Amino acid sequence: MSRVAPYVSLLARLVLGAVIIVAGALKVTNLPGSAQAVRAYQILPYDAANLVGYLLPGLEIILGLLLVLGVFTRWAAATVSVLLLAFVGGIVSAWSRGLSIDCGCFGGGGTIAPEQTNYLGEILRDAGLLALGLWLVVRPRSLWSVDGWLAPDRAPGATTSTTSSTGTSGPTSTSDSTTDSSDKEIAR
Amino acid sequence: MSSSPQDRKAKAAAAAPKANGSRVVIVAVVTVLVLALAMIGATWAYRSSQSSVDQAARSATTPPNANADKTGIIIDNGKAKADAMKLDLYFDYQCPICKQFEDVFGGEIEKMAAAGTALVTYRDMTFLDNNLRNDSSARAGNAAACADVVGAYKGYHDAIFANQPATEGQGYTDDQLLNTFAKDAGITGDKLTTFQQCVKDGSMKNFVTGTDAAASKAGVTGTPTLKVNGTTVPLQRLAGVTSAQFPALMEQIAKDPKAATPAASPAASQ
Repeated sequence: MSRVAPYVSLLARLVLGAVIIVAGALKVTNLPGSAQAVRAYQILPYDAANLVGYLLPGLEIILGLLLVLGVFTRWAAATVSVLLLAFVGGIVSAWSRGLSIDCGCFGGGGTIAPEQTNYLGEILRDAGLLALGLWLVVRPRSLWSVDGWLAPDRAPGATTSTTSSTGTSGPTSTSDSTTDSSDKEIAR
Repeated sequence: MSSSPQDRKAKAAAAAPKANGSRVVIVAVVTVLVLALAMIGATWAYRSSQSSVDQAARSATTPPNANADKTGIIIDNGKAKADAMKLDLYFDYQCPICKQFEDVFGGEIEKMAAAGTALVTYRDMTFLDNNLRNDSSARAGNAAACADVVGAYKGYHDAIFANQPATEGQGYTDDQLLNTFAKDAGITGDKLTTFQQCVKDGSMKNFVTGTDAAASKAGVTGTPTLKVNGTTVPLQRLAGVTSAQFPALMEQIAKDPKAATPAASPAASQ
């Protein structure tokens, strides 16, 4: 399992990272449109919705880059997962209130004809992405990551493994130490 | 870590984090800086867009039949009876469903305005310019408000929708706005000159920016949106309603806002 895990994590990083970079890039060139898409959910007050619409595309691009590069993978994945949960919540809310909107996930958005809505598809897609995000929260270590460069001794394939965690990654220690011990088991 | 068997390991590990620690700090600082810059930039972009919209709305030249708060144009201004219901129609000149709505109900709404049974306010929105990446909604809105200057708003409004391109996003040409629709609306002679100058100058652009912003602030997130005495009538409620049935339905909703919910309709079983 843990021999395969770094590869799975690499794939998860690249897929999730690329998807949200694309999602952000498609919106960042049309920030008023992005704000309009957020307003269409009719959840946040006018100014707050607009601000989210302006902030989100840039945030998505940066988080996507962090994932693709493998920088602070666990934190980036956790943040993306929280965002995805919020997106799913927003879509479920819009659906349950009988709104007919496009989620605006990849640009566009706003009110559309009722027969054009695809709430279930949007939720399933986000749920799939959320699964990738949660996987990375549990197993953030992967091949070819900046994280590996930051802490070579904890990178996959490294011969030495330590039970102590570096001071900068406190919250990661619990599950890292379990991963480490399982590594040791396999590596004897 | 304090246990003696692990001392050697701990010492060995202690050397590495020292070197890595500085890398971590550098990467963390860069990440936080990039995040902070992006968030500040986006907030600044929003603030400046809002202030330019507010500025435009405040300084707007208004067409003669604009309502008091400059958020729309009143149809047959002055004809509404004292007890008339308020009908507010939010639309975008590039919105295909708005055209469908106009085709079926537009004539009835204008009849109600002419008869004075309704105080009808047309509230132009331009958000489709964002989605379609053009400026036809704003240009058409400007031209329609210019038509109000020469007393031909209603006819011009109808002419735009009658000639809405079949393909959403194709937009309107300057020639259509300056000549074709003006002719359809019966604008001629000196009035045509005044109208065309107004269109070319973009004299009503700020007014339209203001009506769009006011509609968004009022929570209108899609078009067409029809409000009867402030109550939004869901489009589902209007599905299957004929133009002949429309005025009676409006009266009904004006008396009892609950009649606006689709469930109140006997035809709507779902």
